[in-house]
Amino acid sequence: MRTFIAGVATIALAATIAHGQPGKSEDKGGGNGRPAAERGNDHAGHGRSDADRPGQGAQPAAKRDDSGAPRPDAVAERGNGGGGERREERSNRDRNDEERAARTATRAPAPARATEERIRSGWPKRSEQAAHASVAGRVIERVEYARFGRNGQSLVPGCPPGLARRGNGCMPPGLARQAQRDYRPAYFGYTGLDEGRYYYGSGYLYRLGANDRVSGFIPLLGGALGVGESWPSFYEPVQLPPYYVEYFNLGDAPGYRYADDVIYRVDPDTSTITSIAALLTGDTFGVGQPKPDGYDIYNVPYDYRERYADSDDAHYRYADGYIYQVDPTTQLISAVIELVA
Amino acid sequence: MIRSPNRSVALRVAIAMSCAAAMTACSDDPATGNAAENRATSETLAAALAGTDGFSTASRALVETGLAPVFDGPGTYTLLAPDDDAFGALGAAGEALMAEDQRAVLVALLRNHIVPGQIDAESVRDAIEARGGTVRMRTLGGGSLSFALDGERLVVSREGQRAEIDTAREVIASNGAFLPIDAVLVRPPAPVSSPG
Repeated sequence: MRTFIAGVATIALAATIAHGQPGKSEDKGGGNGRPAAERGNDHAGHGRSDADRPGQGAQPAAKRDDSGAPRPDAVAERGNGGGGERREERSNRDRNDEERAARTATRAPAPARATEERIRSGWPKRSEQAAHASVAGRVIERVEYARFGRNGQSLVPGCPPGLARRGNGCMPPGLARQAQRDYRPAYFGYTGLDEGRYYYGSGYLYRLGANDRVSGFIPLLGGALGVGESWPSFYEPVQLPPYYVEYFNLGDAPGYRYADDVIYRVDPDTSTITSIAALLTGDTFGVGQPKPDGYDIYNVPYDYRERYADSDDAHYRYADGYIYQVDPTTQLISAVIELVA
Repeated sequence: MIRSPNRSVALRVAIAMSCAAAMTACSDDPATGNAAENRATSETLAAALAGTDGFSTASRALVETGLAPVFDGPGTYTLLAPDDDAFGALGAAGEALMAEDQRAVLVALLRNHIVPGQIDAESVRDAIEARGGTVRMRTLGGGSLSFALDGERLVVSREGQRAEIDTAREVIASNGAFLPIDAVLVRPPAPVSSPG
């Protein structure tokens, strides 16, 4: 939702430190202790590229970069093969909701895990920044960024589905008779759009042009992107990073969609939105980068507070399924920690 | 102020666990701001909100907009939850927000009451003390909220809208928290005489 993201949501695809399970007595705080873990190829085959799915635009595969970032000094397989079991579970979509509810109700603090390279096939790499940070004496990681896709953050030109084009364009429904309110794009979190006249109706934010004709529109969460609505064809499905798929229990790619920092679950057969899965900040965190504004308060989930407590040496903040370690002096991110077992 | 894991976290987690087991309030002292002592529950944030008196409007809003599953899910969020009186104070504008065709408008309002992670009154007070004044948290709606002390009272504001946090009623849920507030922090879109 922030303009500096310039049209895409981004995520730090981070190599992270290996930690034991929060709450265990060893290796508390500061991220020191056990050797960093590497997930290696445990994602192989986990996701499908968009190119595998008919009717969906293929995205250029991201290249893996093996250009010399120091590697963690040991390998710790995640979950002893549990990832494979989880993938198998996901294939049974009928059981997903029940399992998701059960996991949610009983979610135990998971050991943070480490990864080294997270850019995967189907993910265009926006930029790459190598960074090495020492956490309690250990060199840990390289961080890369990838884009979630081009959905949102800008007006879709033309008329939305269902709005008949007449002459030079279409007119928003009810514009003539409905009491007008000052629906600014910023109200809906869109701060990068140009000034002009906007109108809300039928779940869309419309940009009005000459003669009150629609010059562009945005489908809004809860409106055109509400539960029960069909996913709009002008927003292509994207493949989310495997970590997000796992953390938010999204299942296979045809069963979710993403736009404007929101993850949706959809019926894979009809593309009808079935639920809203997650709201994301869209903020960019990366090792070596400044902590984004607006994280002044310690917000680590309770399950992880024993391990990731603020100290003189490190502060911790949570966003979008990750815990970020921050240098209290420089306010730079020094580690990115995943929370899925 | 540096949060001491020995002083704060371990104790609060332990208290939270005991409170969660009992499912009862452990303290009602708003001056302390000790969240875990107030109410911790093994329920999800959505369930905890639905089960707390005085928040039926906020809970209904989450359900009707489709946001409730987000607060039943794996992500961790804190909701600054306006109580029923706060929504009531919006008058006709508040009633209009509940109309089916206004759900996107209501979602936008709600998103600016949601912050990432799990925060409680003690965390807020610690941050204010460490900074020596106002602190900010970004919202899931693209803006940010400012937290400050007004005497001993904890207040939150956004773009001129201000509310007091009822620290005695805050709830720590299994996947987040909600901090009760006595006003809505987003002004619904105002009528204009003509488009634009």
